[in-house]
Amino acid sequence: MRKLFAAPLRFIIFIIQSIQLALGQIWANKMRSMLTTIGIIIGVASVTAVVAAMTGLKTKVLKEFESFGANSIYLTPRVPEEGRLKNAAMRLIQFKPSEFNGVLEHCESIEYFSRMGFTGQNVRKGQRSIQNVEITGIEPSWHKIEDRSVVMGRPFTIVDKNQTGRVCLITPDVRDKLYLDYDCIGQTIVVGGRTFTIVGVVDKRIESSMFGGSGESFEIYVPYQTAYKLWQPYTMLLAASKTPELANDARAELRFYMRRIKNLKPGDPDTFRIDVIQQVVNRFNQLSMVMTAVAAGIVGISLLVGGVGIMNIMLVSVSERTREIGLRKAVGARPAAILLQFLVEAVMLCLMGGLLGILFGQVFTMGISKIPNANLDLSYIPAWAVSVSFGFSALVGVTFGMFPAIKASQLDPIEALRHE
Amino acid sequence: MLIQLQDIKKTYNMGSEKIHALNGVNLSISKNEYVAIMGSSGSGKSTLMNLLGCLDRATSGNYTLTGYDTTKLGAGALAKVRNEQIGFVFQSFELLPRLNAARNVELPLIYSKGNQWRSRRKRAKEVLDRVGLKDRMYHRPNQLSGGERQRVAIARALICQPSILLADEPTGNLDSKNSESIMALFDQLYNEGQTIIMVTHEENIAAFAKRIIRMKDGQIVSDESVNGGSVH
Repeated sequence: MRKLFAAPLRFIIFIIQSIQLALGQIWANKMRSMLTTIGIIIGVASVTAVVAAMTGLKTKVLKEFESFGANSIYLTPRVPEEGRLKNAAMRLIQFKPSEFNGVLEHCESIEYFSRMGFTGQNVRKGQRSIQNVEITGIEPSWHKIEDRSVVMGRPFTIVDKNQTGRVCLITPDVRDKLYLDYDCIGQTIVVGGRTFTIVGVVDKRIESSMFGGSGESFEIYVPYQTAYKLWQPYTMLLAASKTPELANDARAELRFYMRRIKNLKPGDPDTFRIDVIQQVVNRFNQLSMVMTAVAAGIVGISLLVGGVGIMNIMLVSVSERTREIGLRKAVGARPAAILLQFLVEAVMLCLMGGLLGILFGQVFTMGISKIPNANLDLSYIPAWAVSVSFGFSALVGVTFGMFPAIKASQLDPIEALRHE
Repeated sequence: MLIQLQDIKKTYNMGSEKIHALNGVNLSISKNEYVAIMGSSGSGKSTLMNLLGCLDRATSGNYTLTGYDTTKLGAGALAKVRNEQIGFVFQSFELLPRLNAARNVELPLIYSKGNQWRSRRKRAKEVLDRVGLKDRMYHRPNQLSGGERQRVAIARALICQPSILLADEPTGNLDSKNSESIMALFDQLYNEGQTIIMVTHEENIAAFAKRIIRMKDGQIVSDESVNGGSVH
């Protein structure tokens, strides 16, 4: 057993000695070592800061996406661009409420669905009115799919649906614009000439400055069946898969179901369109990965400049320590031992630069996260960026330290000992 | 026989000219000899020294050290031979200035076979004691006198228990008092059984040896035993 471990153990001890030696050498030339590593420090600091900013931006955007619901599926009618249904009548393309009756039965990945109808109507309360408010007909399941909290009153129930009741949910902006009481539950408003009772107040849509959704949001929600009876609104389907991972399965099932309902023949293009948020998120993830890599790569070029600095100083070091190399060889250092010693020194320099670079990168990151309106407030250095920075620093050390180290290891001991 | 040189030639190419630094040297040295190699500059004594120390390889001829032919060895194998068989003492000491005496002495052990890292300091202490510098262990070279520095260098040469102690003008940078003390140390080591080969151009230093080899133009011109030594 002792014999088995002797060789690797010796190598490990030799590496530890080389590291000690290298640290001593770096410490002996503090000023020079510091100046040399600045290139690496700046390189690593900028790479980590860029990666941190990109990661922050990505996290931010993903959060926005997720507010829409990652397992949401949107089914909308669409006239195909070619094929026999290219000039089909709109009424054939449009959805009828009864077409969705079998969705839950036939699409096992779908957990809930809600028909949605869209129309614009004028809204009035006494003397005050708002023109062309977005009226959305929804079913009770909508509350489970859309993450919109009812801040006052109650959400819609199956009773509202079945009775096609004249009830509505409004956003706080509607309430304020119409000068309703703060607690407006039970009050009535006139929507498109019909009187509706307010049963709840729903938060306005979460939209950030990034997507341009700012300002007031006038939205009124009524039961879908009520809206359908009164206005025959533009209808679509909102569904939610059981998990985000099942979103694509649900999409396929829904497509199969809809093609049958719409009597499409094989070869006919779809007369509808299905969008899955998860799809968009995946696309965005890929895109942001590529962008991060490209940005980090461009900034990483500065690391190469730092590497050249390392090579330069190592060449100086080899030339200064020629006699020392000669002596070490005379007392029995093999060329490989000398090579390793100088290589370890270059790598140690680079790793120290990398460490300081990451620290400075952290400082930069804290700085950029404070920039107002830049959407960088979630910036952070991911763990992988730290390890990649270290790895890359070591790689730069090996690459640029190799030539000086080979030079040192090939020195002739007699010549080296004669060197002045 | 510890050392056996057979028709050793060493040729350097200086442009189109060929310089024969060694031109057919035959030499045998046995264990526990004390040999001085003398000659003027350009006589080939330094080249011979480098060959004996395995720092260099002969152009032709055979060099057998402790029964092994070194002629065909590569750079790594020669390094191993230097580490295990040869202790160098140089004119200008060649101590590493940032390391204290003990660490300088330990240097060859870093490159030697086997795991002596636990016993390293103990062995350094022993050899420093042998050269009379036990109380200077943690001094740096610049805190030591010339004679003390050369003693540290000798301790470093001895730490791997080499077959040969190879000294190149060991007193060249020392005053006469320090020179004498170093020669006294060599005498002591010789009496303890150490084989010593030294290169010098000073007659009074060579006089300490038991055998004097004189060189001229790359050849041995005389080989005589002195002070009761015997030529083998």
